[in-house]
Amino acid sequence: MALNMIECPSCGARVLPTGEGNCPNCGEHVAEACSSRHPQSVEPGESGATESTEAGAEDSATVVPQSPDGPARLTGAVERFGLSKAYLLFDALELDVWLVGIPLILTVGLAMLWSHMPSRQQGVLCVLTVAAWIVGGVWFAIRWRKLARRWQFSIALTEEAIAVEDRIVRWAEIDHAEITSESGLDPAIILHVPGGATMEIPGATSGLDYIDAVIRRRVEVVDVDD
Amino acid sequence: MATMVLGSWVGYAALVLIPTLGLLVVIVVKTALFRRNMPDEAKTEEILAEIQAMKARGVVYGERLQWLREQGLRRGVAEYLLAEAETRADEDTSVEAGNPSSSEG
Repeated sequence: MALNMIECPSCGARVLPTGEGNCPNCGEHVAEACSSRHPQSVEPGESGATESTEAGAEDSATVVPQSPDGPARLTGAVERFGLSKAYLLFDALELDVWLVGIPLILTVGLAMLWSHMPSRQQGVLCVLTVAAWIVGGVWFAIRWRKLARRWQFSIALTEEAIAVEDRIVRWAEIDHAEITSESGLDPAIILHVPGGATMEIPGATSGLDYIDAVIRRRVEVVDVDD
Repeated sequence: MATMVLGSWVGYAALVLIPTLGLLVVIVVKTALFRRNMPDEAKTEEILAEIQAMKARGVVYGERLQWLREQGLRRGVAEYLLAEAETRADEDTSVEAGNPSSSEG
């Protein structure tokens, strides 16, 4: 299958546009702007296309930012990581117990104490219970959507480059790294690459402490937010 | 008696407290198991040196983790030691280069 690698006018990288025709690096719409002007076929395995990082990658070709040294590749010993399902379960227990727990407790309490309460308290507790179910439901839906989107998250490290999902970037090309105290599906590590694009590593990634140590070792500028 | 307890504010408070205490117990037990499984200082140094040697030989993270698990270490402890070995390697590199590589913000 021939793949059309095109040059993004915004970030300058040679990329394979996403399904929507956007640049995977900076999100600019590039398909119409560039593909008609500079179409170029690249077979997977040639310069510009590499092997997929892990199960879950949509295509065998991945985005390879152009650099003076040529495209980055995952070569040599590749260390792969994904989301820690056990961590996510514990994280879910910590938070989601209360998402469902608070409205449940209010409902049970309402039923148990109904006959002991004056009508004014009954009304207040009823309103609180309904509000808690609505807030819990919305929060749960947001978390579930986030989880579904990140379920296949993968990251691969080599001596030369880092691959976050389908994007491969050389260590030297990373502008700076930001280490936050976020957990769960929120980004614990944010890698800033030239062109304003970012690569986010969720807190629930397995081996996060190791990835953190590798990033501190490889990236020149690391900002730590406490 | 049970109806009286359940149908009171005390019973209601218990409904809130029991899940909270349950989560606290899980956290305390996890921390205790981590500390109990952590090797002593001399053994830790030995393991860290071995991890660094394995990495130099090209043994990848998953295999190093597997080796540590075979030594009887819990996953959390093994992951901590792998990260510690990488941090030590970073510190060694920084000392050789003469400047630290990260800035606290």
